[in-house]
Amino acid sequence: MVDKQLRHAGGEFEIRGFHEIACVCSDMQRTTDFYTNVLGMRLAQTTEGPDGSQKFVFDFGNGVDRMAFYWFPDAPPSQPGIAQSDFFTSVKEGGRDITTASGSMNHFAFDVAPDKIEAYREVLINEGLQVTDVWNHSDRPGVDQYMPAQPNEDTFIRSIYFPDPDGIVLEFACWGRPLTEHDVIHEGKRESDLARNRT
Amino acid sequence: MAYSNPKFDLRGINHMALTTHDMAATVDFYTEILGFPMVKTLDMGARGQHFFFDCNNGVDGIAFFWFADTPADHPGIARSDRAEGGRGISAVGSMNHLSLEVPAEKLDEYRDRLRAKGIAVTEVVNDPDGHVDPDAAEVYRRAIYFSDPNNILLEFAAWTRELNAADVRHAPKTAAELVTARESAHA
Repeated sequence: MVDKQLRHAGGEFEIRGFHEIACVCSDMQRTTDFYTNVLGMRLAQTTEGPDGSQKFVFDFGNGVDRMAFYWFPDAPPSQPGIAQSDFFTSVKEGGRDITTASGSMNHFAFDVAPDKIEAYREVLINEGLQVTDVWNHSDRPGVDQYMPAQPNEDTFIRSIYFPDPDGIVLEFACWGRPLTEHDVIHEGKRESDLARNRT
Repeated sequence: MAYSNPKFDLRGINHMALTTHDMAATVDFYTEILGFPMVKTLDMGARGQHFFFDCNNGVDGIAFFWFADTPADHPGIARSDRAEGGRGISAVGSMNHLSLEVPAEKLDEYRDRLRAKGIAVTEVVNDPDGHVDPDAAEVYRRAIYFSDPNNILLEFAAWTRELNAADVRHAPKTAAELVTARESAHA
């Protein structure tokens, strides 16, 4: 277990972790079963609003981080490609269309130890989940090698992806190498660079 | 006694991958306003960019995609519509908002500091239900809310007491209870 309070880098705001990553589910019973029985979290709190909406909080079991799920009686249905990534459909079809709308969460990655990712992949597969191979995200300017079959010295993240019950794209990830100043080299694109704004 | 996950050692959040229409403005906000170091910039060619920030604790990260063809902002669908005066709803499968854990005794100071940087920040809210007395026994957390340049609802928050068995007392709702499911059942 990592004691994150000891790792505070001394910046202006002391971030201890994620108080809650607040997402929306369609079926709180199914979501509770997944985050507790499959991912091993603890259901820590349940609240209910006067309109019948619910909020359940799940403790990661690392001393700090939590997930929260809302259930709204009139929640808009899921909108892949806008409000969540259509990653798994896209991967099945051999594509990489993971675009989501500005202001959305695309996916998120739990941090795991580098020597555990293969074993965790087996555990998730044994739970009956659709899990990708271990992907070796690799990058060096000028080298076309984004996802080599084996990790190499440019591999900065290794990860696996799997869906939650509402298709939220979850990831287990570990850092592959230390990041350096050479990893921060690009200027951020502007709104005016978007395809729809180019004339 | 803190709960320990018996199945997976989840050490933190390697990265929350969020989406922006303006990476330059997003970099300014997360590095200048929140003081998060940018640790990785990834060029995805014609598809876009993927930049990573450290949450200033060496463990957690927030990353952003900039897709050349990213759809426009969808309040109430792809994110909470609270900033628009809505109920704070968003679609199934979406992230509604993102809350970062900070020390409880620093919340007032952090609100003032964000405001000094020109960020619109709420007053400190004490839950349950925005309780006015922060020291009341039933208060379990305190929070302030503000938005990033993509209108993503961010929160600085702190738990003010341990949660216990009495905090878990509602039966989970199911998909069959959704209004849409009930309407189609009667159609």
